[in-house]
Amino acid sequence: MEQPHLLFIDDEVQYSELTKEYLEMKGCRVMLKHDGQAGLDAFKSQTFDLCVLDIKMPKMDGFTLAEEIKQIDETIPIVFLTGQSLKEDKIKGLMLGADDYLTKPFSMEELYLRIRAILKRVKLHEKTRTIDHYEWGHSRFDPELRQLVVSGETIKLTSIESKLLKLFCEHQNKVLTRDAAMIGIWGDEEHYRGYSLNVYVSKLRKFLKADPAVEILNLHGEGYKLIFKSGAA
Amino acid sequence: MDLSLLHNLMGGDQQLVDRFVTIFKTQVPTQVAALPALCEAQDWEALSTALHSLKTQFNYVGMNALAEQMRSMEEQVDGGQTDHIPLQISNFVREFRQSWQP
Repeated sequence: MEQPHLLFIDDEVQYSELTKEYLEMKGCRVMLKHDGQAGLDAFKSQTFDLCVLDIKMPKMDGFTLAEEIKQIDETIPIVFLTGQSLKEDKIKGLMLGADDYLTKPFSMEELYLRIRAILKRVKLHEKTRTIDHYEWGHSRFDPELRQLVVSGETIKLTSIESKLLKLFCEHQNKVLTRDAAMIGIWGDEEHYRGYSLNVYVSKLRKFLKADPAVEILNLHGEGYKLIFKSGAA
Repeated sequence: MDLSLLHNLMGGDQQLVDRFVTIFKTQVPTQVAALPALCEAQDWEALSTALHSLKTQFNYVGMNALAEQMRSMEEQVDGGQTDHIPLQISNFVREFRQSWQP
């Protein structure tokens, strides 16, 4: 399994710091935050494979945070940490799409094993799922045909435009770094590709302009993010 | 302190256990000392979060009676029953200071 990138949000500083170290020792990359708002900001700025959320936290509780996160990426797996094994908490979490639960105090090894199991399941699901087209708002994109339909108008894309839009769709609501985009399109991240990338992003923005449900954001120093506005994806 | 649970939770890693205990001894007294101020400010939300966090930490090191006191106060605060909380916090802080051996 590749090195999974985890977002771990728990206000209990001591144990969570050590859990982070433990998970890193097991080969995970972990970003640790200690309140809900900081966790949400981190989620918006980077791409993660899984989130571990405490429920009771300052600034934003784990349930609210999970709702916000699922609005950005409905497929991201979430593991909740609960203070007590409250049935109501479990039900509420499951309603929000939680993939698993751990009751505090929890074993670090158990957390790791559960994370690994979820990621295996997700990966298997991704392998068996073949996406032949993407739809949002008033648009439909077929990468095989290199065809984009926006508000009834059909646009025939070039190979590079189609590759770039596919990369955006695969990273929807997540950061697509400039390097990842260049590697995805041209197989390298040579500096001189940067200008071409800007041009292709501008072209896609122009094609998608007629659809208010979608927008390609510039993230200074990082790359881009294709966002589907609420309820449009 | 009873560290058997912590040993279990940390997969028997003595270094992790030792580090937890060191951090616990440094930080928990400060966190406990901050509780009366939250009461005074009637910042019940922050108090509840602090109690919640302390409760789990006491559980980790087997100080279950203290954890139980935290749990009870947290439950009262969350239920809006805050009339007796300042007194309970004050008693708790005093008892903790008397019994705490860093």
